[in-house]
Amino acid sequence: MSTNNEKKLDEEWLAFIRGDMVINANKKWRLHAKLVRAAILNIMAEEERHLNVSYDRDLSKFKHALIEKGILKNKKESINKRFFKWLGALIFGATVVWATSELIRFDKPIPTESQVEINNPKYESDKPFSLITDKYGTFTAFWPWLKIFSPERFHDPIHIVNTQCGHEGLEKLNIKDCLVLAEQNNAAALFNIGLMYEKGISGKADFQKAYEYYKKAESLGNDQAKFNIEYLKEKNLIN
Amino acid sequence: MKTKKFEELHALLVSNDDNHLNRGYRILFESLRNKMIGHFIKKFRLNEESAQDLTHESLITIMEKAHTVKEPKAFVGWCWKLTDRKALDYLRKTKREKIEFNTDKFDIEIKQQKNINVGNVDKRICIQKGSERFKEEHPMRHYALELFAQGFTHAEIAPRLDKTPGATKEFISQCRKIIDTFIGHCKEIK
Repeated sequence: MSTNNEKKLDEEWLAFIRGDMVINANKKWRLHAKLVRAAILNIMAEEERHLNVSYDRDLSKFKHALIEKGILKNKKESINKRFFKWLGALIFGATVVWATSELIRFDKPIPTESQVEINNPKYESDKPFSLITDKYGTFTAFWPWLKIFSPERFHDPIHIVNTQCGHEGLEKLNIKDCLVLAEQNNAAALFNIGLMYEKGISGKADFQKAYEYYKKAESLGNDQAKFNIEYLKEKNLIN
Repeated sequence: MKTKKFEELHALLVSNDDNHLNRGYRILFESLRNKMIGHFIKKFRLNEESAQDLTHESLITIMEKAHTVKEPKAFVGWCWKLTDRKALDYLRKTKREKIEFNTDKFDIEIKQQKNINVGNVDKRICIQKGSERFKEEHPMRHYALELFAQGFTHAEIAPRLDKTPGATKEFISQCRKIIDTFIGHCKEIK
């Protein structure tokens, strides 16, 4: 094949590869070149498909990198960030102000419960004669004789009571239950009674009494009572 | 993507307007991402993972330094040069040598006809298989043909191959003879 022919062939072939129209080209060559072009485009399409699998992930990675480098600004994110920074600063500031101006005190009762043994009051009386109604019936008797005529009544002179104090919140504190526990030297119950006096739950507020109960609770190791005593002193509520 | 489009892209990337930048980075990614990965794989024989990392780095550098290109017409060439520099740096760091295409082998190769068993296959499949083998053995030439098939001119292909337009033309025109050694036997199939 002459050099000119060779050159012409090359040019025609390349024109087919580029997808151009070539007039009067050899039919065999045309088909051959077109098939080569189709093969090249097929390979490219296959590669493209393969690369597009991670396209979205890479785009997002690229975007984030640009934002990190400060080339792009993420408007939405920056507004959100600024808002949260401002909110955080506000909460922090408010907390500092509150913590420095407010004294620490505890104003919630401490739930406490216990089984308390109580002497059965029915079998203790100052009077010589007494009317007793219990599970054995009604009886009026002279006390010294009672043990003789009805000894079974004295099998259970101790009455066991389940006492709760401070389980249902400040408003429903029952001083009687708390007193029962306080008699057993229950520090939490003493604290609760002090709290009731301080808040005036079952009567008028009495800071002095509250202080006394808090003191007792403190002496039994209640730390919350200690803070409330400090509070009463700082606020000059006690003498 | 033609040079003119790159000029428009350059205008977007050097703009101070955030909306332009947001549009610009997407267009840049869409138009160059796949091509760059292919470029790294075909020209520098990098594996896909490294090619993706280098593409990521190159695109970021383009975004960062687009303003240093004073002439918008030169932007596309600058992008490809930057890409090549990234690849060469990477090869230097990883102590790998750049695999240059050795044109001296050209004559020897075309004399050795590839003995491929044609068998009873379709002409189209035969050419497809031959092209795939051509790609494996001559990735740079296949790359050049790919660009050519996409309608790029010799001048546009030249910066990607690190050659002058004249050398690129010669390089591409040699492809017919080389690819013929892989698919010449397919001509016999009707």
